[in-house]
Amino acid sequence: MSEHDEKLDEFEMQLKQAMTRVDARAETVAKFMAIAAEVHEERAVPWRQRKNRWAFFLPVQPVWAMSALAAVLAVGVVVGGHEVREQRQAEAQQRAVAEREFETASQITDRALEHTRQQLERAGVRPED
Amino acid sequence: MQIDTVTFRRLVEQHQSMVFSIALRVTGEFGVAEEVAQDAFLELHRSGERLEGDDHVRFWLRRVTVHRATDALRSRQRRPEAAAEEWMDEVHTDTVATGLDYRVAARLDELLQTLPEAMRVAVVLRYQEDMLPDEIATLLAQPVATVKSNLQRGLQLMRRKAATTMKEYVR
Repeated sequence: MSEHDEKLDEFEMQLKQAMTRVDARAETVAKFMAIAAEVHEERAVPWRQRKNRWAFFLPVQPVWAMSALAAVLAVGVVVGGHEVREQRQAEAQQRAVAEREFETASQITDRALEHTRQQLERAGVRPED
Repeated sequence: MQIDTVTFRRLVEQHQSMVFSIALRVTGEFGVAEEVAQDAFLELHRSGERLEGDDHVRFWLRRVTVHRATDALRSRQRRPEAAAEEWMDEVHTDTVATGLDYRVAARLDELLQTLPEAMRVAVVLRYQEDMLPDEIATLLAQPVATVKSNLQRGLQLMRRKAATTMKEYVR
């Protein structure tokens, strides 16, 4: 009887007595041992010689491996995002420079045309003719 | 904790009945319980280095077993009553030592299998593992109030069923 039992009523005591632990079958326990021994032997073999060396890609992995993979992916996302942003900024700057140059060129062309028109008027030539 | 073959053998011998019994009573099926126990011990072998001392191992094994057992139960998506009777009488032939009639013990285990999953897990941990509600709450990462509620409702359901189906045995 444990210290917790003092508060149990009769039904709970019966339930507790009914719920005794059950041993696994001897062959099942032997199987646990055999599988563990196999895993243990496998660990002792260098990685390149392991039968299950591709097991890294299986679902259950050590925490450190999953953390490392997650960290590499996170760094990749951050660096990739940064490069895309830089590329877009450079393109926007190039576009702004080109627009300014076009604007300047247009203004120069307008002034040249106006100058030519005035010269022709002074010479008595009407451009419409 | 360094898990070499000798340590692992000791841990299996020490905890196999706890792991197997939790798995058996949560899943209700002998074969599934064996698979769950095997998974739990394999995971112990993989993750043992993170565990510190026997108490930590016991806590960890209980938690992993409950999770594996409930996962197995959900993946089968059926209640285990059908297979329940196959093992009840078998495992209770030796319970004479507890002073409880083996038929009562087998019937109580059958009633346990009729409980919803959350109540069953709470009842197993409380009465098989002799854990207090706050210990169960820590293990399951649930509020203590939830655990107490599951225990109370589970017991209530079992009492009600016992009162109608086994009144000659249960007081």
